[in-house]
Amino acid sequence: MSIEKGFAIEARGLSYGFRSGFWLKRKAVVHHIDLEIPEGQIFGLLGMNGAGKTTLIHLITGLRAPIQGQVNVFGFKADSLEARRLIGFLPERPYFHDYLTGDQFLRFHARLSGLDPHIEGERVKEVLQQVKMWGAKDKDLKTYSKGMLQRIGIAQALIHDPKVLILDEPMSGLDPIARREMRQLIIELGITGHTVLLTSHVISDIEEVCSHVAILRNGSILEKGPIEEFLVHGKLEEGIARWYKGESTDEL
Amino acid sequence: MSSRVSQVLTWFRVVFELSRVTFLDIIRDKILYNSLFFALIIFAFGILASQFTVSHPDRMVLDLGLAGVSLSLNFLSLLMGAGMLSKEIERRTLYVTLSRPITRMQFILGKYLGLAQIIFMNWIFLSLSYTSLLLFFRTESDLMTQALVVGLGFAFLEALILGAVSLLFSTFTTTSLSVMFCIGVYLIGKNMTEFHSLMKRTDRTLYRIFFKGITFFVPNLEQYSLGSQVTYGIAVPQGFILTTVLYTGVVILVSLSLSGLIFNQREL
Repeated sequence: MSIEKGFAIEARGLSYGFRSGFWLKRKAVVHHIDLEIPEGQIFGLLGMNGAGKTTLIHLITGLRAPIQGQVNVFGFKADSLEARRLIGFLPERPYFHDYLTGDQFLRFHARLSGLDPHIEGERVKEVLQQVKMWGAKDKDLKTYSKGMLQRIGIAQALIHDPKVLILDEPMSGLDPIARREMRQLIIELGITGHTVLLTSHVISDIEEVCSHVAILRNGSILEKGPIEEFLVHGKLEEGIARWYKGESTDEL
Repeated sequence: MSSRVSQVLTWFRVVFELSRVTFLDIIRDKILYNSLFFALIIFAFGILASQFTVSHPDRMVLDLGLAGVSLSLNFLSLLMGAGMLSKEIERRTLYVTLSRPITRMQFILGKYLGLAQIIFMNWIFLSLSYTSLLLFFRTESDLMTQALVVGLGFAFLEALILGAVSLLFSTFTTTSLSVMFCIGVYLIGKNMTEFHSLMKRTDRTLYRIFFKGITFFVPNLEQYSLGSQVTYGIAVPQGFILTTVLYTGVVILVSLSLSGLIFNQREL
């Protein structure tokens, strides 16, 4: 099983299972996933709650090690420091060290990422302005609203100017205006050449920002390809209904 | 500057950052203030008890005060160390941190150094309070001895060991179990002579192996309690101080290395 260097993210035969029960037997949640995401693509992972999206994200970010298969980021093994230098990650429902101010929080992550101390301040300012949080930089994170936390989360993911952004449910819990702003931000990131992998169980979010989609169900990829292929019969929801055979697709 | 030196500096810069944030985290924790309050209660109890003592009332303040410093520091390091990793996992702050280009060993070291900074700060505060108390209440002139200074230093070293051991337990078990294991280590470590003597006295091979295992793996904490040496101001030999400091360093190094190895394998 070989991994080519040409893709931003490439997974081959990826499997993972959580240990559970008295004997800590593994219960599979991700089964033999093959995935290739070229550089510069905005790729959406769609799936119901429990489909394995977050676990797959954790495998790609190197937070979990696969029990089978391999995942590489620009040719580097996902759990290597080289791969992590190329990745910016926003977890689902992020909880940060809330006693830090926005500015302190970003400086902390800049230093963890090995950013040159001479450009640290400049970079912090740049990303805070990019996510429209410059005005709130001196406030403690515990005073931030849900939307502000998501935006500062994106800022920490961007702080070291990564080539790949992995956003787990970035629109979750946001009000319609914040949701629209987040979608706009992701589209802009795509335009500036970032590879973005995002998960959602809300179809319209994926439809609006992604160029390619994969549908996950019970830990396996049901279907993947350019979003146009899913839009042949109208909206994405109708397009993918074929694979869900009568199940509700309001929220995957 | 060569790239090798630069890499090493960057490595330690990350550890320092993690320790700084850990320090800021612990300083907001109520356990820190409870441990300080606990020491102050023991100080007060020492003063009260000295009022009912006929001979050498100062020594009551001296003994109980030192016990207060030591217990408070141990209480803090044990509880904070045991909950350190599980808190990060439960609050899910760990995921963002570990998605950065850092090793888990750096994470463990950063956490431990953050805890060590808090222990140091507490130690300074308690030592100053305690020695001020001694100066204020003394009726005898020879209380501030070399043995007292060494005793205070050893209380700090013991707390550093307990912090490293509790952090080690927290890499593979829950907070409550870590606390229980660490209390076990503390009790055994403080009674190491008894365990050695049990090992020598027992006829059964299985028991001997059991006691040998315990005395080998559990750090000897008896040497950190100077007891009557402090009470009577008997000077502590420099060789003993040096070996205790070295022993502390080795135990911490082994505990942190094991913590790093275990945490590296741990599924989050």
